[in-house]
Amino acid sequence: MSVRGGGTDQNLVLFNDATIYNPSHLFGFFSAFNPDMLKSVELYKSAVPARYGGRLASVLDIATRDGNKKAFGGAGGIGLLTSRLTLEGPLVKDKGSFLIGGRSSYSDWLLHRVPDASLRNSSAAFYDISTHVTYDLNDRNSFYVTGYYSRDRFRLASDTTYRYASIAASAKWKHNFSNKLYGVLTGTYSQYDYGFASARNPSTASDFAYRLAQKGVQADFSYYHSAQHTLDFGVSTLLYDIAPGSLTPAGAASLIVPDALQAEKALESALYVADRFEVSPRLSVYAGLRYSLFNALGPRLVNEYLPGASKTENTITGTRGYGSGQVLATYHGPEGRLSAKYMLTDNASVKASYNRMRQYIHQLSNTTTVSPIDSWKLSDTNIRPQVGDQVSVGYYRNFKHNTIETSVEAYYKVMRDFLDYKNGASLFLNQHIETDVVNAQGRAYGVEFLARKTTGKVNGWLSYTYSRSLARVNTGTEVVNGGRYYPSNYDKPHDVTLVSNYRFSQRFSVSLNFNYSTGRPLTLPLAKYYIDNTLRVYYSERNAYRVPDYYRADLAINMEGNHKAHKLAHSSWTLAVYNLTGRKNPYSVYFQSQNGQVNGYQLSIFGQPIPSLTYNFRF
Amino acid sequence: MAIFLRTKGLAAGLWAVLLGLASSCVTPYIPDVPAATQDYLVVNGFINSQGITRLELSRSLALQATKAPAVETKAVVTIQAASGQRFGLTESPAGTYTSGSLNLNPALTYKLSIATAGGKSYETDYLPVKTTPAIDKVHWRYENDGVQIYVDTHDANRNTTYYRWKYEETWQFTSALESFYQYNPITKLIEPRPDDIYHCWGNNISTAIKQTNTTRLSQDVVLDFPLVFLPANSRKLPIRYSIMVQQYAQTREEYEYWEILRKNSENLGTINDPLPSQVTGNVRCISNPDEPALGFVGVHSVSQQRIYIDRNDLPQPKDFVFETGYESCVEVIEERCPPRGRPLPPGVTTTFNVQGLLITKTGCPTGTNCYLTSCFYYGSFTDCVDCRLRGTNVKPSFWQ
Repeated sequence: MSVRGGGTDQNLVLFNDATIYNPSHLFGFFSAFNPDMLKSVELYKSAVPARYGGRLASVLDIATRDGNKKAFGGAGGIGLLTSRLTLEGPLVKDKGSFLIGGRSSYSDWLLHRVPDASLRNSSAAFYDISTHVTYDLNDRNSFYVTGYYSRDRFRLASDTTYRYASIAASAKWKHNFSNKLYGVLTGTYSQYDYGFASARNPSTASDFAYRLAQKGVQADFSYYHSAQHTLDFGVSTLLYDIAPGSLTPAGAASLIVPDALQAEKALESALYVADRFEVSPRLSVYAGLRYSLFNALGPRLVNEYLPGASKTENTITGTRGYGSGQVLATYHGPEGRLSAKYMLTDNASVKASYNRMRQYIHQLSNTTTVSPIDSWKLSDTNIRPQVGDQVSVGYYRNFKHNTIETSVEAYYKVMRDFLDYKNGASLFLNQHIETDVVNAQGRAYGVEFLARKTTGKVNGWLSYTYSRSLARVNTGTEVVNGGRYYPSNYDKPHDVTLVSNYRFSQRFSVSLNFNYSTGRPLTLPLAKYYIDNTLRVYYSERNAYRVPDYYRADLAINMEGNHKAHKLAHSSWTLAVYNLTGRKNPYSVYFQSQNGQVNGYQLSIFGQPIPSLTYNFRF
Repeated sequence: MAIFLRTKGLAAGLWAVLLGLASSCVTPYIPDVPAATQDYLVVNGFINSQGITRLELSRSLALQATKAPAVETKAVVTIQAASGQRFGLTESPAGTYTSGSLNLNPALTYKLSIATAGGKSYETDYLPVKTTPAIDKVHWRYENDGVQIYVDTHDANRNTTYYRWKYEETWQFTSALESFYQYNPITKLIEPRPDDIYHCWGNNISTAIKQTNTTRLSQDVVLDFPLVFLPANSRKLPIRYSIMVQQYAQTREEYEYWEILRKNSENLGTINDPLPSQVTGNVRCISNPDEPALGFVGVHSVSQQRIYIDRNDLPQPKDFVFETGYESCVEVIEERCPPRGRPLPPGVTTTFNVQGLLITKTGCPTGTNCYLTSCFYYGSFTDCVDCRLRGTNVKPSFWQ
């Protein structure tokens, strides 16, 4: 997911305040979260409250709902290969509740019966489980505990099995000091690990593993001063612990030499204060200040490079060792958050906002392979944090008694020091990744149009976004594309999304969704040639071409069961067709050299219409 | 907001994902790239400041092309000194342009100009002359279960810094089975073989880009740069092996060109591949500045050194078994010899003429007496007998 031309690593996804590093199942086509569990999903991309920080582009704050404190209940869905189930009920009547939900694919057995041999060799499976427990001790104190675990495994017509798993846990104590002040103390734990195992050739059979763990503590307070002022303030700290990659031989016959990258540790802390100020009935202002501090910690060996020279293996001047817990690099700075809303009339308003965000953790992805893999890397002595500034203005207008909402929002963003790759960068198990990445500068701008109809037989929304995202690498030592701006990996100028529902009757509705976006930029091999009888490939400038445009239409038909009151369970059937037109959208595009030819391949995962039938129930 | 909470119907249809995988497919991706972006001039070679310059001009090809690259013929290729002096190159064979033996002045700069038959002009900037220092030593050590070959060099004047090497390996080998006879289709008789197709020389020219620099060193010295590793049982080692190493001094620009070319590796599309990037070289099209030309032409001299490694130099025990590539070859008794003076029976003709098996020897199975029984022809497949399929039986002129 890219928000406003930002990288996929620039979105903070919080599940009850615990960070989720990979919020998707199966190639990003499905959310990692069970919709039956959720209370709210709030996306901040213009005016980001000072409480949040650590990512440049957006914050997605997902909150689970509390379980039913009075009665037991449940909901679920049964499909042919996957199902979901949620249960809830009181732990202590009127005081405590639980909510637990899970989803799972059953097995790969169907895939293994597909006649095509290469597909028989494919597999995919996932499951997730989440739970949320609440307990109200008294009027002043409440406790919440949330846990989340998700696991994916897949193999795409190859001999390599990929896997990833996320853990997120949080515990909260909410305390009301008075009817004007309350505070929440939160402890979080997040873990993301992935790996892949290659087993085809026993002599090169290997297992790669990556793991990120993050522990956090935060205290957030909200003080209701008066009808005009509400103050939010708090403090937080996160401890990162990353094992950035290890390769181990698999099986006794394997000749793979074990290799591992140094562990990375860091502390990211922040203080914030913000005032929500109702200046007048028409004007409200939000002013916040966050101050973040990042300490990269030992133990670590850090390469030192010749000042003023390109960081390469040849300009390493020495290596400095840091002991456990010793600070090896510190970055810090203020982050201002300002927004204002002015009601022009009862149904028209303008909003303007300015945000500064600082980001201390970066994603490295290799996109030239059949299955892209992503690693997260902390800032350190040689890799600076990213800083982003965004201004945005929007105009909002409602029609027909607020049943039709329209808006237009424009934004301009400047991003500094996000990571891009040097020419010829090598990312896999690189012991000195700073020689292969470069802090790039970027800018992104765009305008978003949205029309939404919230009620009625026909409802839904239609949006169009024009946006550009450009990057530039032109330091004294590193130059990409002649130092000019070039489309970043997330530059998709046009995006059209339609979500529409038509309710024929109380029991029967149809929804049609459509999405179009420009294909992402790509560096293409253009020609081949021979130097000293060796095949060489001539590439285009970076991101000079694009993969084919993306478009997809999905259709779903919902049929509710009858609504007799004494029925045990309320049920519905959903018949859906994903990718109605069978468009072969590229999931990945890659090139392979075979017998003197350089062949391009496109992997489409959902390249044909896919019907599905699910029985949903609630009791 | 609707990013994760998709409409109910679709979120429910999770099982679709799995069927979707069944429909995942890899299809050829042929990018929509104008043909004009695929046909560029490729310049392969360097200006030899102390000797004969040999440049190969060809054209780049579409990625899927199966044909050999076209050569650029009838071009006018000139080396020009900053002082104005010009040296023409002559074409022979087609696409290869050769100068006379030159001795360029290291104090001057030189450029290459190419005017193609199609009317386009290409040239390099004026380039400095790098004089390549002598190779101090090509040497080897037996380590890590194999022979590691190293090169040492230095430049007392500290002018070189960037070094690149190419090498050519030659080794003696034998086919699996020696052939003493051959079938003569004219006389229709089996006759003694006049030529030796058992002893051959194999050959391999380096394709990997081998280079290093001494920027981090306090002296311009290269010690123990690893060039080639031969596993202990290498088929190149059982008799006599030789390597000719050529050394080139480079400018930093040329070094960086090869470095990126090396990273845009031969191996594409695997997880540990570097991200590819554009690299062209130092030849510009001056009649159309937007048209790239490919290849880097440096101006430098060459120094070279050859070493030999004998079987007896190696520490492997006497009975050590080397890989030969002929492991699957067997000698079979094919046909019975005809009595003296009689024509060959049809079976022999079929086996050794039509089916193409080669005769290795005549003889009798162990334990039988050839005086009592008539002899047999032994034979095997061509590839097991004729070493010329894997090398040449002409002794290289340099071979000692």
